[in-house]
Amino acid sequence: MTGTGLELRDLRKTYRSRGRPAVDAVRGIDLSLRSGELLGLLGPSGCGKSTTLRMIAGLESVTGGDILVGGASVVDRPAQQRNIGVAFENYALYPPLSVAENLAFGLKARKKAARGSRDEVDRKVKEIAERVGLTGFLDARPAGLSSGQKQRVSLARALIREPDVLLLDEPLSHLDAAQRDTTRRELKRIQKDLGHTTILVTHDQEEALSLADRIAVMKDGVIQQLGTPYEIYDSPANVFVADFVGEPAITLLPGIATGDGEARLSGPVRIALPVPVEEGREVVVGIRPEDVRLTAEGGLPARVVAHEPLLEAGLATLALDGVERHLLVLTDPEVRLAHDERVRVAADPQHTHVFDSETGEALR
Amino acid sequence: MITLSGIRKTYGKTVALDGLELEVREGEFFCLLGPSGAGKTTTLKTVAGLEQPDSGTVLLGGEDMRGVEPYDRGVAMCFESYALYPHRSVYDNLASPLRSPRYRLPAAEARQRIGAVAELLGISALLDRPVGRLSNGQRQRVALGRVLVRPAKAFLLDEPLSHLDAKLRQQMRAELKAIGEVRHTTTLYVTHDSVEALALGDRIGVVREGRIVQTGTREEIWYQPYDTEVARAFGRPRINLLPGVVTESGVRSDGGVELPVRSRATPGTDVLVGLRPRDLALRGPGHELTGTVYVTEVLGRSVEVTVRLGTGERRVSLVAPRADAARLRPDDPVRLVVRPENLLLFEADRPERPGRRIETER
Amino acid sequence: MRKRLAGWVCDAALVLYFVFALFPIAWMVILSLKPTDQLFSTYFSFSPTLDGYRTVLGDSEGIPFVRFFVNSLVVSVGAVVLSLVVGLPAAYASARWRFKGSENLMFTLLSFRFAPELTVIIPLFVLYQKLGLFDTYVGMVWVLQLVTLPLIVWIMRSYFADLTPELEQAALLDGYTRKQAFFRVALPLVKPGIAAVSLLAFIFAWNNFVFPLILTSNEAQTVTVGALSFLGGDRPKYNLTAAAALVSVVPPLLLALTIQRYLVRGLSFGAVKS
Repeated sequence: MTGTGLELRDLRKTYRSRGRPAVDAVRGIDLSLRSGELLGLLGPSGCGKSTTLRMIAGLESVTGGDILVGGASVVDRPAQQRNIGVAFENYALYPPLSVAENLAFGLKARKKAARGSRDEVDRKVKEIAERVGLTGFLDARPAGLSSGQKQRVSLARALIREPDVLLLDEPLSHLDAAQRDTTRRELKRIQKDLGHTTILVTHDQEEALSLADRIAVMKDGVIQQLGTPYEIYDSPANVFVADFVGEPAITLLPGIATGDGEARLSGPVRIALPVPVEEGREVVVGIRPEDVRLTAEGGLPARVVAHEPLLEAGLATLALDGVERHLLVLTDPEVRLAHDERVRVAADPQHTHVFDSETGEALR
Repeated sequence: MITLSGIRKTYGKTVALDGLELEVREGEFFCLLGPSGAGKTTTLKTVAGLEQPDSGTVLLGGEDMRGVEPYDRGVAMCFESYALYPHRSVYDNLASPLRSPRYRLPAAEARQRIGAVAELLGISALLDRPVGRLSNGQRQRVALGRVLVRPAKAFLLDEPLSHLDAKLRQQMRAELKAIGEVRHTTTLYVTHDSVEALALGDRIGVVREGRIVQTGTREEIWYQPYDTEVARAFGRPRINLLPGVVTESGVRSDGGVELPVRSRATPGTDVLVGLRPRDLALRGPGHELTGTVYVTEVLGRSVEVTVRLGTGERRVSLVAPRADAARLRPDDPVRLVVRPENLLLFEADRPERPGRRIETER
Repeated sequence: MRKRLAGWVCDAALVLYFVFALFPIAWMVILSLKPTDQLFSTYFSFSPTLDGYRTVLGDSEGIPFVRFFVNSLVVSVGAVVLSLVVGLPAAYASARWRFKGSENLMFTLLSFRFAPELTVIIPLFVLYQKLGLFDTYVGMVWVLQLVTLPLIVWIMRSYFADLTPELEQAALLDGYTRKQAFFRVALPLVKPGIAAVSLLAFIFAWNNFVFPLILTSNEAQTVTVGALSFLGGDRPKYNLTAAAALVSVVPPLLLALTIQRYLVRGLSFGAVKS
């Protein structure tokens, strides 16, 4: 089966409580998802991403705006009439029921009329269990499952009702590192195979990059940037997005544009900018660790603060002469640098980012 | 120098340390890596004298520490909980060791020393603030400052970075490495994060169930892991372990894939072949494998590609440059290239213990 | 409209309950203000007078109430202080170290609170007579340990148990001795608990009736027993008893108000781990 498109139009949420100033949790979100698309809603805690998810699910009232599923507004319908599946962060499984009963539970609640079709329920439970790889666990209780398996039960329960739209709320946050990678791959594959229109809410940039077709980065109830993972990573719209996405973190260095295609970071230390910026403008230069390399000559002189040889690659923390903020540089696996060693580094101007220091917006 | 030999410690019926052997050399930064409950913290507290071992000896600088009180051992420890006095100011917390009978400094000297340490850790502006009102990152620095503020024969650091977010953790790792006192003082550092161990440790000891299973430099542990569990602990994505059978010419993995690993193991032995994701590529010279794309995942500038091998359900993951992987879609056929020089060979995992590494012939 | 009606009903019910709950106290206050000749009229109309209080505090009627009051203060404060000195280290030790029989010891201590005082009072009376502790401050402070010590040890034990031992361990590594770690680290952190439990112990000691009734006669008698002496004689002087009782409520009340800030924090600190 295939999902349906989802559209959010100027969606807003304001929390008012007596005696306190009103809080604008979501301040006008416009999003349009193609059928079958997986969109990552990425942001730090308190950015409004979970509120948005709850509004789409119908668990939270809407202050303003519209939600359309397959072109029809659902904003006035209660949660149970929206046909939207939600996999919750804490799995929300019923402990006394077996996996199969947990899966059937939602189905029975929905189809009161079709009580007689027990076989149908069984068939669906088996079918979905096979899709998510739970066939061997149908009789187990939730307490006996690993967190990765619980996550799959929660996903299966959201999927079994054949929802138009699937919402995933921090689906991997309770898994340990080892399980997270495998579960992430499986989740992505299941979503691609079943083709549900999906919104993934997460605070983890790695999760959003690896799972999503497109990412909406949120902060303070506003979408900061909407784009494919590559777009978000390669051309962040502002300092916030640049800093929030990418690990090891981007280095952000304040400087002043010289007018001849460079920015002065301090004294004689200058760095080439990707776009012309008028002289005297205060800017922030952003350089990702993988876009700087050690060079034998040319480049900028620097002192090694620390080098972490992580074997798959190394990570050097460098102090550029006269610059207070440290620069992170990804090094080749064989490289070993000693504390206080002198090196030279060159940044790739093609991949250097420049932002206005006041507004934080990218200069392009 | 810290030497632990035959340390055994039990709490009721639980065995925390089961004959632990450990030697940390003078001035060395030694990382103890293991999952929670492996006995790492107990080891640190045993060195500090906060826990008494049931048997075994603890030597500090060659001296037997039996019966020596914690305050006479001359070690400084940073607790995972930070163990700061919540109602007191940052200054008073840092001053605590310098007001004790053992390490007392005259007030003026103490002020100077605290100022220097606060400067080093970038917490000078926080000195008057009560610890209760600091962020985790700031508390972590204060806890570290309390360790650095007075002379110590050894530093014992218990998961000092575990409560920080990923970016701050990386930043503090680098700072920790750069601090002179830390570079010159024997340090025993406990962590469950293999990246921290690789980044910081001159040597690493892998702890499991109260014992050290392997000690070595990061290269030794990476290229010659003791068993599959040690191999799995290091590297992200995790090492690919493919089940197979030893043949005359190498190993045949299930799904019919031939891998060129030679060893002395008898043909017919069940084994696991370890392939690090970085030893696999989508193009270039090397031994070739075929399969279909399971999923691709963006990791910033590069892409993690998971491939179903041959005709079977076995999957391997690799990290490829974006240019090689950007066009791949699920179920596309792909050719993988293996750099055979770093292939690892293990005995098959058994329920009672993970498979040990088998020497390969290059 | 319906909502408002419900609100009124609710308020009215609350007022009713309030009157019901406070009635005994109100009755005491009224009683204490009545002149002796109107004592037995049950009407609320009477000519209020402070004569009762004057009599009680003026030591007339041959009953030295002021001395009883001082006795109560001395004995209760003494009992609490002794219990703190002995009980805090005991509570700390039992929270931090498991030793053979430690649980039994703690339970035995607690069982003193289960046992009715009357079961031990006769042998105690005999012992006190023989030892010369009868009707002395020392004797009273001593016997009140049965009331205050278990309370202090048990409550403070849970405070200490809630405190992570790593704070003291860090102090040991900072170069402090175990004793210093206790006094300089552990003790200051349980201050709110000490305030709360001291107050409770003080009130229990102050309100104790059986021990002073049997183990004192005059010199060391306390207000609880003393207040009742006004009932003796040919005519029970209820107004004086009421006045005495109200006067004796003052110290615990004042104490509670002054350390209220600690009390709220202290009682919640122990329950919920911060």
